[in-house]
Formats: sequence, C-alpha cells, structure tokens
Amino acid sequence: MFQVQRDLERKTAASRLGNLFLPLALAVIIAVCAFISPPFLTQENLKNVIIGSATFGILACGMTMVLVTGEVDLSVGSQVALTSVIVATLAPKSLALAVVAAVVATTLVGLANGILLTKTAMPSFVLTLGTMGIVRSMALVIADGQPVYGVPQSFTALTSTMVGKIPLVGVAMVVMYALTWFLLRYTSLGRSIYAVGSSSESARLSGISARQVKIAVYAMSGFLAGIAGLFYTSYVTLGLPDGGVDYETQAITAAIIGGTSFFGGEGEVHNTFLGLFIVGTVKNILNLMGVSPFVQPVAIGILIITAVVLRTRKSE
Amino acid sequence: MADDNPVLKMERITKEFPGVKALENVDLELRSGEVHCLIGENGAGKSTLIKIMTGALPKTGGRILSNGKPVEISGPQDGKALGIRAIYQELDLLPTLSVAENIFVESRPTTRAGLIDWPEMNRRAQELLGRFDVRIDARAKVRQLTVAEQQIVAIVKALSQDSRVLIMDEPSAVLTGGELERLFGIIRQLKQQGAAIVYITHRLVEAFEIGDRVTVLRDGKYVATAEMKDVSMEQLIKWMVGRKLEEQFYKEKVRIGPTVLEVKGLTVNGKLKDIDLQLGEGEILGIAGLVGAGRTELLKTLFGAYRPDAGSVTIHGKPYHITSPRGAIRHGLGLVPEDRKNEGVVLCRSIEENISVGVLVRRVFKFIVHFPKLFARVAQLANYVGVKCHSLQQGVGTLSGGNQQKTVLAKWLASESQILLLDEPTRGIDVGSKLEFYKLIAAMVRERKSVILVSSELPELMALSDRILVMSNGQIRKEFMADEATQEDVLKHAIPQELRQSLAVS
Repeated sequence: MFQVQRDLERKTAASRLGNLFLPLALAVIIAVCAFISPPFLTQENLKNVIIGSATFGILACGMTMVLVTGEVDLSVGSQVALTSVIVATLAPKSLALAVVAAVVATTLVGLANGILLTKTAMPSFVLTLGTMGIVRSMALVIADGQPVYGVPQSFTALTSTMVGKIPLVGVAMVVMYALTWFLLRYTSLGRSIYAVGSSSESARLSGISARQVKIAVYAMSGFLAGIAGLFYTSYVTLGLPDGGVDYETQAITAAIIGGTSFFGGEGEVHNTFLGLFIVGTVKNILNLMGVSPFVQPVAIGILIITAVVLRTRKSE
Repeated sequence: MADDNPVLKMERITKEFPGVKALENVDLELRSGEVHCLIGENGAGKSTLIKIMTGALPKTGGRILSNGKPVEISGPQDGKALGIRAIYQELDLLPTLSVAENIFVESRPTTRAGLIDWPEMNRRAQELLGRFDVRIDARAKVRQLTVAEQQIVAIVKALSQDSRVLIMDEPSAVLTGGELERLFGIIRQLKQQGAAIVYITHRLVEAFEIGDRVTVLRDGKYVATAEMKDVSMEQLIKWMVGRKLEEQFYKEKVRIGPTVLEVKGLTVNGKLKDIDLQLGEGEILGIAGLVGAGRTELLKTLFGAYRPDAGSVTIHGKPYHITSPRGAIRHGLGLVPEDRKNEGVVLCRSIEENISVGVLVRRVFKFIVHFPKLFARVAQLANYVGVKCHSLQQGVGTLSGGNQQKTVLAKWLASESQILLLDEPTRGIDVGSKLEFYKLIAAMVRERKSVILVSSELPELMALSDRILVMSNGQIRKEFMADEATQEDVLKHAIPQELRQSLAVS
C-alpha cells in the first residue's frame, strides 16, 4: 500500500513535469536563438516564422485529431494543392464561390477517406497513400498541369493583412487551434475521438461508434486542409497543382514533436502548437545563420528522434 | 412479482466459431435480487455466454427473454438498453484516458450548455472510488494503475450506472482479500436493490460465500442449476470436471532418467516466488493451478520472456542464465504457448516457414542456408507430427487449431529441443486432435525428451503427468505423484490459502 502511494506520487510528479516540458523547450530554444542571432527577435522575422508555419500548422491541427484516433491522413498535402487550383480557377467568376467550393471539395475528400477507411478496414496509411495520389491527380487535371493565374489581388492580400501586430493567417491558425482544443476537451465527440484511439474494442463495448468518429475526424481533417489551402493560395498568389508536396509529413512532425502518439489515444492540440513553433523556430534560426537548406532536415530529424526518445524514457 | 418472470432468461443458446462449438443449448435464468454464480473450467463457455448476454458477441442460436418478453440483443447498445452491464475479465478500459473519464465514458456529466463538466466528473468519480476505500486519483491515467486498481476502476464504472443485470467475470482474480470483502459488501447492497448479479469465478469457496444459485457449464454445454445451499463442494467439482472416459487420454510408461532441469529459488517480482523444481529425462511434469496462479509465468520465465529477479537454473548440471527466448532455444528449450495465434505461430506465413524458424534460430552464425536440405527436414517433421494440409506452402492461418499446434511442436522438434514447455496445449482443439497430440507427447518422452505441462483440464493433466506441482499466488504449494492424487486434492491446494481461511472463519 505504501509502495503504491509512493508510486502514485512519483507518477503525478512526473506528469506535472511532462506538462511543462514543451513550453520549457520552446522557451529555451527561443532564448538561445535570441542570443546567437539578434535579428531573430525583430517583428519582421517573427512575422515570417508565423507565416512560414501557418499552413502546416492548420494541417497539423487536423492531423493531431487523426493521429489520436490511431490513424493517419497522408492526403492533406494534395488537398492543399486541390484547394489552390480550385480557388484560382473559379476566382475570376466569383471569389466567394471559389472559396466555398474549395473547402467543400476538401471536406468531401476527407469524408470519402473516412467512409472508405471504415468500409474497407484498410490501414489508413495505405488508403490515404492512395487518395494522396488521386487528389494530386485531380488538381493536375483541373489545372492542366500548369500554374493557374487569376487569384485576385484582394485574396493575395490576405496573408499580408495584419491584425494588430500578428498576421491574419496567424490569427486564423490560433482560432482553428482554439476551436479544436475546445472540441476535443469539452464535447462528447472530442472525448470519443480519444476513446476510439485508446482502445477501439473498449470504446465499442462502451457504445461508441468508431465508424462515425473516424468519418467525422477525416472530414474535419479535410475541412482544415481546405482552410490551410486558402492561405497557401493567398501566399503563393497562384493555383499550384504541384504545391503542398510534403506538407503532410510537416504536419505529422509538428504533432509528433508535440507528443502525439502514433498509436492513438494520446495527443493534445496545444502541444502540437508548441511542436509546430519548435520546428518553425529551429528552421528560422538555421536560415538566419545561413545554414545550407540541404543540411537543415538533419536538424529536424534529430529533433523528432530526440523528442520521441525523451518521451518514451519518461513514460517508463 | 419478479419471481414469476425472471429478469433475464437465456434459452438453448448456441454459439459457433469457425470449427468450434463454443456453446451448445445453454440455459441460464436470472432472478431479481439474486447472486447467480456461473462456474465451469476454462473453455467451458462462461465468457462466451456473458458476451452474448451483453451483446458483445452475436449468438448463433437460441433466444433471450427479458421479463418474459423475447428480446434481440445484437450489439452492446441493446444490452445496455436492457440494463445489462458487465465487468469483463479482459478489462474494457481506455488506457490512455483518466480514471474519471473511464468511469463516465457512457454518460459524461455535462454543464447546462451541454459541455463536459470536468470538475463534476472528477468529483463524482473520486466519491465513487471512495466507496472502495482505495487511494486512486480520479485524474490519473488508467494505464498508470496496477491491474488490481484497474479492476476496481472497472467495477466502479459498472456501478456508476443503474443496472438490472450486473455481470462480474472473475473479479477476484486480481483483488486482494480486503478489496474482495468490500466488493462482496457492495454486491449484497445491489442485491437488496433488486439487481440480478452474475458472478463468474473459479474459486468455489467464493461461490459458497456470495452465491444464491449456481449454474455449471462444461465444454460449452449446460450441466446443472442448483440452489447454493443445496449443493456440496464435491458435487460442484463433479459437475465441473465430469466423468470422462479413460481412453480419452494416452500415456506410455517411460523410465525416468537423471535430472535434466533444476530450478532453485526462481523469483520474478510480482509473478513468481521461490520456485524449486526438478525435471527428469523422459518425465512429464504437470503444473496445476487456477488462472493467475503463475503457471504461464513460470513457463515464460524459463523460456526467457521474463527476467528473473532471483534464483538459479541448471540444465544437464550446467548453469543456464535466463536472458532471452533465443538463449532458451539455444539451451534446448521449446515453448508451446497458451496464446497460440499470437505467440505460437505466424498466422500469415506458410507451414514450411513456421517450422523452419526453429532451425534458423539455432544456426545464426551459418549465414548460408541449404534450403533443399532444410525443407526436406521440415517436410519430414510435418509428416511426423501429422499436420493435415494440402501443401506445406499453405498459410498456417488456414489450419485448424489442432494442426496449428502440431506445427508449433514440429518447430521445436526442428530445433532439437530437449525440454518442451507446453502451456494449455490442447485448449480449443477438438477431441480427435487432442488424442493425436497426446500420442505425440508420448513419442517425445520415449525419445528421452522432457516435458513441463500446464493444463487447466485436470483430468488431462492427471492422466498425462508423472508428477504434479500445484501452484497458487506464484508459489508451489504441493507436490503429488500423479497416480496418488485425486482431482479434489489438487483443487483444494490450488485455492489460495487466505481465501480458505476466510471461509473457515465465516
């Protein structure tokens, strides 16, 4: 009994420390960056960090939900390209229509992912590897393989619009994170997402439908990919059918560094948010220091591995 | 009024799995305000029956009546709607979520706005846990808890909602004496509130302590239902074990040679305590005990799956340091595990490949494998153990349980194992294959191999073994020569001491 008590205290102490780990890591990284490179803390540079992270950031928000259910969505990068092509193609007719159509399209892609996944019981890695190619192809066909011009000035201004001292895209990202955080923490659907990822059999015995939960999560992932795609289009000022390549891995990276388990059941969006900025800051400082972009992925790779090793050590 | 129409009545329930009839025409009747014990040996079908009751598994045949009206229970939702809840043996908890959330996963407390009310959830969970007088933090994650604590969480979860039928599948397997007493107190309370409780247990003393009526199952068939006060322990054991014919088993008298395996003071914290045993050449040593007694753990420890904390093992007089299964295989040990499908065979690979594994592990330093030679040997062994298949390239997953088990055995014959550790080797195998398997065991000891056999089927264990060790709570309690012991003797020693004492006092 005494032993149990001590174990319990040790465990809670450990998890309290674990909650502070990411904010501390980010604070240390920022402090180090500010120290070694004075331009780091300028407003212009921080704005670049936010704009550079925002598109992945919004994707990472949806990716966290997908990972918590124990699945993965590799098709979000292609969905970003699809969005940008649809916006650029339809914008000359009506910008509002273009925006709505793009987000509806990616939400439908997400819905299709969810339905196929639950109908076929295929591993999501394989299924979304398939839809990743299909959606990419859709974007290429619509755009006829060429960049699509025609994104109006009013839309490209979206990225550079500032809300106070923060770019609009940063505000949009924070809103998405806040909504998702709220959904995951305070709604039945949110808690069911964790339950399904924690043990789908136990969730079933508790009367939770894994099918409905997963379809909803993929649809949300698609919706968020659409939102991310809008900002991407605004940023690149074009419809790029070959854009957004590799964005899904960037999103997964942020989520994993933020402590999301690849096996489901665990992960918090606010930690993904911190993970996103850890990656964004490290990339930014490497740029400021003039480190070759060919070498930069090494740093990110070491970051991922270190984060996961530290965490598995801790949970033991 | 409730006495006229039972709360729940299951009639002629049948459940078939591919190749196995798990239940055949089983009846069960539950009255309001009774504790109904459901007993039977492993594989008797108790867990299957309750899963059908809750809707976790669909039935193949039979019907279910609730208060006299026929009902369809086709999913967990239906069972819940009828007020049927279960605390399963394999805990149905969500390991990465908090204790409070697990308790209220089906009806989370919400605020007026329909949002989850965490402070309220944590407070109510802590209050419910308080009834058990245990120090569990409602906000801790379930996977941080011990198995006993998790069991308590599962019980609290089931109690957090009103149920007309509450099923407890071996709750005592992991609870300590004090926790069990509190559980019994709560059961008596629920009984007075009119709930029907199904209490599954291996421990007959518990059935006498808490039960009003008892239903016995054997080999998926209904044996009897009786008032607890009208039956004796001897009667229950007879019903459970049944009268089995001698020719169901096969055993040859083999001269037992010098000691090949000697274990002294083997201890694995929390699993095994101070195990001493010797195994002779050509001997079959049986290990008896209840579920959770440490039998599987003993075999797995010898096979290197758990690191021992103390003790020494010698094989043929030479020290054997337990490090890993690979080390065990090199020392000539082979394990036929209880969980055949996950640990015994690789289901998606062929028979040929499964058998070859045994050879390959032994010859790691010889990089070049002579495949024609290897497969010729494999074919010879598959033929020897009598795997029924149309081709050795066939996937093991397509074989029946008995043939899968023969494949596992052939794997160890291929690696020339001298000491075979068999854990419930005949579970889920049909009667005909069982006999063939017994003959294979006999052939192996004739060839001077030695066997440690774990089986929950007592008649089997007693017929096959030369000597029997009885385990409980991770310790060896008693040794019998197989021909001197009766099943009643063995069962008596398998029941943990503190339970026997608590019964003697009350």
